[in-house]
Amino acid sequence: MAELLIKAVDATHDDPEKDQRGCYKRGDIVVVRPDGWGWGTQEVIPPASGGLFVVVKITDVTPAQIRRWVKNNWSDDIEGNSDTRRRRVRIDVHLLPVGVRNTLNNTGTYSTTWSAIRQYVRNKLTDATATGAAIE
Amino acid sequence: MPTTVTSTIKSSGGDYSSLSAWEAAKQANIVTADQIQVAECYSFEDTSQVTIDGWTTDATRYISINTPSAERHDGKWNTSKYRLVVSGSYSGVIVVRESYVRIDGLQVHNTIVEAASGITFPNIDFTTSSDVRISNCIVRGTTDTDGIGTTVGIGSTSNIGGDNLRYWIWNCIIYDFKTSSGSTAGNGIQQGTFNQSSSVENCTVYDCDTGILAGTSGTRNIYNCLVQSCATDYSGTWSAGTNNASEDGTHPGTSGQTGTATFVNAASDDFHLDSADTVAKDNGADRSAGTIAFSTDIDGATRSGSWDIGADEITAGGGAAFSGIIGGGCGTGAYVLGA
Repeated sequence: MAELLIKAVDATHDDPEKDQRGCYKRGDIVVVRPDGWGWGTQEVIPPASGGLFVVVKITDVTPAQIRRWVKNNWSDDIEGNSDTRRRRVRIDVHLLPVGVRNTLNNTGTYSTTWSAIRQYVRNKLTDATATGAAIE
Repeated sequence: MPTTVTSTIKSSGGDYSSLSAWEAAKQANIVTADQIQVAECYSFEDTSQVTIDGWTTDATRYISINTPSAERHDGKWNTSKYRLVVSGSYSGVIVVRESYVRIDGLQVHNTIVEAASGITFPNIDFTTSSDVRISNCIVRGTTDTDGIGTTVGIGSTSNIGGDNLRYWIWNCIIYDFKTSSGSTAGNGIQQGTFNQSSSVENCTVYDCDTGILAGTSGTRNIYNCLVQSCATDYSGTWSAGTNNASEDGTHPGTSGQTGTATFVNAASDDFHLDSADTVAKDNGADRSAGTIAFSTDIDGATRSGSWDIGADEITAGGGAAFSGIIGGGCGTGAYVLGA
């Protein structure tokens, strides 16, 4: 199982170039870790309680599989930044079903499968989603 | 008076489980908030690259990343202490895009075999009064076998990187930044150009293509640095400097030393000076009232009398415990380099 730490709240900057290049936005994947990861106390506070992150647990794939899929299909790093964008891969949390969003907001975590979540995994530079190629 | 906000970075039981997550959480306008944001890194292997960006900082409201003394390396790579180990052709394990940052006591290693840089400053504009400090760090590279891009242990990743950046590097050990193919190079420390001001003091650089490379403009000072076992120890022109050492005679400035230093065990990456050394031992300048104004070595041992060249100071019976962030003399506004 892979656990994705995802930014739940936009950070902003008055400089628009720095805002896009440097600031994490809602849905950005911050780090990817294996199941059972010992998240920090500040990482597991639900957004409804003022937390800044949510953890999405993908139960049927490993971190290595996700990293490999992103590298092989998007020539990219799931935790990578570009010169102009902070993080190149995000979860379209705003498109998740409302029940999922409520669970994330109230509990800070949600478990799902790759087949269910992949349509919401988006390449911010190309706008492509992680549908198509199978994960290996 | 700003409020210091300290967060712990631990593999479990801390505020954050990676330095990257801390940075993602804390990036903000800390000038308005009137805060100093501090990340204390505890003993574990952190594996996520860190880019410091998207903040608003100033000279008294800055970002500080350090290891508490008990969690700090002992002057040699230590796998039981905090270490940031990543494998990725990023611009660096830590990329500093903010003008007021202090990094103290970290171990950093990029294990990828292409363009594996350590702590870098990219090609952006920094503020004219910027103040970036990197101290007491161990920065390791990996031989670049792809020959794709220049690798840098600490510094700008290109000769056009970091306009206006002012930075200070002291008591750091940097090694294994080299390439095995192509026309690219591995530089231990790269002091860039474009109106930068920098001082590099009491650093040890070992086994790189070029140990310390100076750019072509800006103020570049260098004191008490020890470069050994590199294809070229020093390259470029510096503004001021003394008491540097090399094997190939390329060290800049006056009062330098040419020769092969004796380390405790270089083959095992232990770059503490051996007591029998004659090249670095007692041949440095007292920099306690200099540009950076520090007086300890990478282990936290007090430097006194005739300083040693390089990051380590030979002390009789071991040194004092490291007691905190060093420095004072790295001010803002009107600033005079050199001593």
